[in-house]
Amino acid sequence: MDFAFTREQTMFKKEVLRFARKEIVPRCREHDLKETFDFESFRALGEFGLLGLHLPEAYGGGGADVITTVLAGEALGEAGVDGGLTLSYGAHAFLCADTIYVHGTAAQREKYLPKLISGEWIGAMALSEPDAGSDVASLSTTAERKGETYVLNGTKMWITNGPIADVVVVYAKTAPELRHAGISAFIVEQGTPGFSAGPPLVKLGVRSSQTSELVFRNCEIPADNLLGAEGQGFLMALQTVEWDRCALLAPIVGGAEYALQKSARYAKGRVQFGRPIAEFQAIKHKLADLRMFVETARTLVYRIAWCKDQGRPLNHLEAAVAKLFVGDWSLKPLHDAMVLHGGYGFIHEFDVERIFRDSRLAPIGGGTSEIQKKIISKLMSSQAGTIR
Amino acid sequence: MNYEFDAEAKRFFDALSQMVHDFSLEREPERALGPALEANLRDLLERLARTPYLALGLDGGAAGAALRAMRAGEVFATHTPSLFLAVETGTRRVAKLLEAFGTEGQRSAWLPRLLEGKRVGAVALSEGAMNMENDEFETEGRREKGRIVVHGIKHFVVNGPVADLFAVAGRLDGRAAVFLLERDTPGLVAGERVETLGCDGMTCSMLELNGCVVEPDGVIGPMERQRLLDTLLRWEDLALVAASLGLMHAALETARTFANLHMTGGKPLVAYQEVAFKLAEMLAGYQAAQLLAYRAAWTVDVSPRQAGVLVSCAKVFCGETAEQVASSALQVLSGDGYVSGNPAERAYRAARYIQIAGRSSELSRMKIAGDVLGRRR
Repeated sequence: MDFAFTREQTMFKKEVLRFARKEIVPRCREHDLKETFDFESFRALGEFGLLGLHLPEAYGGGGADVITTVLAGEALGEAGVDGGLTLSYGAHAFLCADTIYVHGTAAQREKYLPKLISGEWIGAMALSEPDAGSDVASLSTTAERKGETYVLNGTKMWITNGPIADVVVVYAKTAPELRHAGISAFIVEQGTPGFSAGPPLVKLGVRSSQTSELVFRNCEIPADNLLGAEGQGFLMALQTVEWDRCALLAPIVGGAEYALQKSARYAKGRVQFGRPIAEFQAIKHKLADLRMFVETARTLVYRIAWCKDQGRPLNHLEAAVAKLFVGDWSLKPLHDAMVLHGGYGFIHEFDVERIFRDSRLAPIGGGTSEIQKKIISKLMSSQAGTIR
Repeated sequence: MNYEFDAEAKRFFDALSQMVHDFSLEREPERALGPALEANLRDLLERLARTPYLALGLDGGAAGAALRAMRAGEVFATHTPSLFLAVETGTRRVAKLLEAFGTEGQRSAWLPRLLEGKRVGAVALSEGAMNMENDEFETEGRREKGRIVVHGIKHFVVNGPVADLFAVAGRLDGRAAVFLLERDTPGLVAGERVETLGCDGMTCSMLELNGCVVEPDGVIGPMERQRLLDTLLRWEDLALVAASLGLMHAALETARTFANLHMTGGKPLVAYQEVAFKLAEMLAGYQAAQLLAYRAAWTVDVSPRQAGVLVSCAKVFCGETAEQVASSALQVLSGDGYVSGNPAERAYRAARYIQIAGRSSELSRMKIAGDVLGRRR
């Protein structure tokens, strides 16, 4: 066992921290407050090389390993980048661009990846529906083959980057009777007749990311926009889980580290009863609990990244454990970080309330905590041997 | 980065697990009473001496020793947490103390016998005040005519009723020292075994030192007090963390097996989400604790100066999670769990010890916060 990052990985994380603090963070509060997407920062992420960090250099990517990619996500959170922007980045880079890279044809890669990697285009992934979230087999959006086209009909819900996306990877049923096996994935471009996005939804957290409904009404797309083969959509969606359980969780862990640093700084400067509140044991215990969460969560998230770097198939039990832990175990320490700030914790400019709100997506998005428990318990009861 | 143990290490853990498992089936050490308590410890020490276990971490800081000891401790404690703690916080901690701070004479006099499993050791650290971080040792050695005379009372000495060699922490010349005292030293009185909430197969007692005479070569130190405390408590904390992993593993396995086999309403208990989800939460807590513990131990191996805060994180998180996991296991087992003697019930009681012994959860949190506040500006 070896938990060390390479020197290059550590150096790169520091570079991302410096970049994000200087180029991104100064605008985060305003965009979160106004619930507006920060196009300038998004393009800056592209220029810095983060949007395609894990993708091949041939398409303009960085060709980085998974651990380096995850470190970059953690650094964004640790720098103080809001969860809205990191979520938009995650949906764009891992749920959209990566899916096109892994399953796309050479022509699809050539057409979409350079623009997605540079940030010229924004990507999204559309899986969830008003009546089908974790229960993917219940998707009702259909894609009917008509000659050299597919005709999409249905409504997607909770789509990150939905209102601003130039290109969307859409999951729809080509063979509804086959349930999971009848799901296929398609690339749909903005401006395609019959495709429209609803207005941005007002959310508790990750407010600078734009989330909406997507509507497909007799939306006709070229048959060439099918990703992979018909019926492979469910497996493609499952593959995104690998990134979801490391690269998309990492900014939340980094955000918790940011909250820890903010809390420590505040506790040292805030004087009550004639001494800094950092000297009170109850405050110290809150700081300790947040530190414990950060260290533990970090270890779980990098296990998923390491396994992916090794080329191993995703261990669904370990992935679900990471997701469940980050989602559920972050609640109290991040709540305490907010309370530690007293009245200041309740107002926007101290960031901790934003981190608390942003982190509340963790037990919901990408599979709720209940779904994670369902996965874990199912795998536990099917294991014949002992738990390692 | 590498999240896997190598094949040789895995073979060692498997062999150790099998050996301790067999011993536990044969002797049921967690149910032992009276003389069987001492006999179990001595017999197991002799068997362990035939494996690399007792010498683990005692080879001049071999690479990966702390991490290997953590995993080995986990598999050991899964079968018998009491004897694991007796071996680890008693015998092996004395051996480590001798290797780290002892003279050549002290090492040659005691280390072979400890590592051959022929002698039982005990570390006597705690005193009545129970807060070694803030209070000076009351136990003190005074130089008299070229010898040292030790007076004091120690509490909660693991292996106290059975040990052959006591490593007693105290003051000497205004600094900290460890007095090495054999059981038959005049003036040394080991008390009766105290009844405890958990760790039924382990013995623990008070220790009185009424003018015990120690030759100068029977003293380790004197040295800086905090250095001695930090070293002894780190070793103890690492052992307690390993024990907590073993407790969790045993409790979780017991609950999982029961939930799969026990039928209610025509289906296995695990088919009910309230049970299945509880098992999932337990596993998540266990795996999180396990990785944190491994990382803390790994940091001890590669960067000991920076390991303190991670060891404290692991101590608190693993100890408290062990209680939660054991509590959930009891709930899954329902009436069966409430009957004394099952691994979940034992783990529930023993988990309280983990949180109190070594650096308590409260003191560990203060250490962690101290690091957070000191490091971050």
